[in-house]
Amino acid sequence: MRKLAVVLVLTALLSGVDFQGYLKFFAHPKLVSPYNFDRYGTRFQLTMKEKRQNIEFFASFDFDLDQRNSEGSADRSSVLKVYPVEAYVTFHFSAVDLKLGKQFVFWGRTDWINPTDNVTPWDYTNITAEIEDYRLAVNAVKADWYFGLSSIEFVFVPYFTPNKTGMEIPGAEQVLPEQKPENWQEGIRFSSSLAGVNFSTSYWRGFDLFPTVYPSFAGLRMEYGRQQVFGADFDYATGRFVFKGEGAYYLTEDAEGTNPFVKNPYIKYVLGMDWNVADNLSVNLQFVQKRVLKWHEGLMGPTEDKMTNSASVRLSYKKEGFYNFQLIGVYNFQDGDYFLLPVFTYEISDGVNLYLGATIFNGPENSIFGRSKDFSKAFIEIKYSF
Amino acid sequence: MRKFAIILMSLFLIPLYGENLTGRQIMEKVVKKTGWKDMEGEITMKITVRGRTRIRKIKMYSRKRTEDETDMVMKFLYPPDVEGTGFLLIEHSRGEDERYLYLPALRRIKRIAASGKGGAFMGSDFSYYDIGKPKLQDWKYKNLGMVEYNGIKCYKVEALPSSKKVEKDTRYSKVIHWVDPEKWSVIHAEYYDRTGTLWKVLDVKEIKKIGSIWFQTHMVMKNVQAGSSSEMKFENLQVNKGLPASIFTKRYLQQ
Repeated sequence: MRKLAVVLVLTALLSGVDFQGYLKFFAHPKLVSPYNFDRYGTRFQLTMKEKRQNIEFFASFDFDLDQRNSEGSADRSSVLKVYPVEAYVTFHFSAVDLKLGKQFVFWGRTDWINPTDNVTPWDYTNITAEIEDYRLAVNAVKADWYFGLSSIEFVFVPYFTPNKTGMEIPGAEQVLPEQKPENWQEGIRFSSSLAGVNFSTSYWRGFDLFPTVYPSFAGLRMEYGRQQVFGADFDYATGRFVFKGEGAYYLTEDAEGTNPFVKNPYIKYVLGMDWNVADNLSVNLQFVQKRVLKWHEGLMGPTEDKMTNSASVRLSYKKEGFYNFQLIGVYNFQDGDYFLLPVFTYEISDGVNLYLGATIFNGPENSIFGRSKDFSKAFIEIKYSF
Repeated sequence: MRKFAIILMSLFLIPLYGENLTGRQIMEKVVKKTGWKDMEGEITMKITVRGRTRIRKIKMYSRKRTEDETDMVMKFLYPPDVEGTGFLLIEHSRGEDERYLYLPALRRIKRIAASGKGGAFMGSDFSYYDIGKPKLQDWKYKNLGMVEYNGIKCYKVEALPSSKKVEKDTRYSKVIHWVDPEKWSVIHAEYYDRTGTLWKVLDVKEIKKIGSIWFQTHMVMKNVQAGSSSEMKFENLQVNKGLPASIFTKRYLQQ
């Protein structure tokens, strides 16, 4: 990959492609004992863009030089990691955009928690100020067809990529779906607008991004179940408010809820609003509910309740255009566990930013965020964009 | 009969002569400038706060969708960390405007609240209200007479919000405009906060004739309370190029 990236960059240089990117120093000290660094090092991101008539090329590569990472200190030869963040080509036709390659595909309108968004996986081990740190682009074909105020989006993802949770179970075997046509993933989303309300309906046939763990003769297995997701979302703005909603019905392979080792079908929805409290202060509040269908006592195990309620908040405060503070929080009512992501951004000069923040997971041992306690960390990053 | 005809004629002619125009008629001439259907250009913004200066550059497209409704798209060109950020405004004469923000870092278009026009535009001393076209029905205008400003004889027009909602939304309790009657452009303005205290002062440094229309191409807004200032310059301004409607869409915003 390293050689390929260098060749691509050199080729792009010679062909007069537009270059952008950034250089970032990052230090991620852990917030749990013994308070060592989760990561610290430097990243150089190079983005190449070129538009020729109706064809647009885009490639973004990360050159990560970790002086230390979660595996411990590394020698100089093994610390440089090169990987494509995104690399795609887009064909713009009169009413259709066709995008091929490694790309982010995001669905949904609510904030942070999106039940309809099942295309692009998460990297829960690296949540920082920037989305490309914690979302993993997928190789996909995406076509958007626009007509009037409406559009239809088709997405095809041939190979499945799961979430990166960092919570590997010792001895458990991770079994990914085989790379064959039966395991292709595809979806469609219709978006439109009526009487000031923007809305979408969607269908996704893919795999659960989280594994299900079950015992087999060979030991524990972590498998990713097939699922179909029927979703819908909306937003509506009035005065200082934007009301939003998003929900999905997840049809798993255990439609009747009789197999204890396969997730039951469930419904998950989010209702919330953005509120411009003042010109420099905005708040997003959301209520999230998940209801497991065909639920039977004892079948789902101790971690899966029949119904779970949570709430999320995002608070943004800006001062003089140079300072920005954002706090994202998610709280689960059942177990009392929570996740916090406070980020302070200071614009040192044009294109140079300082980020100070933390990713905090906390709660009882067997709760969702409680289990992730060890991933809690602070982050200090200085980024120079060019 | 002759007397009656003269009286009738004079009644119609009154509004055409300077001193007797109402505040509303003056501002209609400022706001509803005929002759442009669409425009595009580049904006350079220099923001100075307590001696620190920041530069922002934007590409701007605007069109009159109807006589009273304007669409606007802005795309950030500089600094590099916000390049590609886009803003789309779709005005509605009846009902609330639609506002969308495209953040390339998030790869998402986000709908933002229709009000809150008093919010700082790009962190500058210009608010979203200041850079947009005022809705005439939102204000009660009063012609305060002719005055001289920088050697130009102009109208002084007082604008008071027509409702508490407008006052809350724009955060202005009063705006005084100095209008050049030759160019039908505001050349100076004072903005008062909700307590009635002078808050911001606008000075128009340059007005250019593009096609047959006069445009404010260089403005400075000073926040007299905070001691900050923002300078906005328009460059490469072009009008009536026949911009396609496809520019003023969410699709274009993310391209």
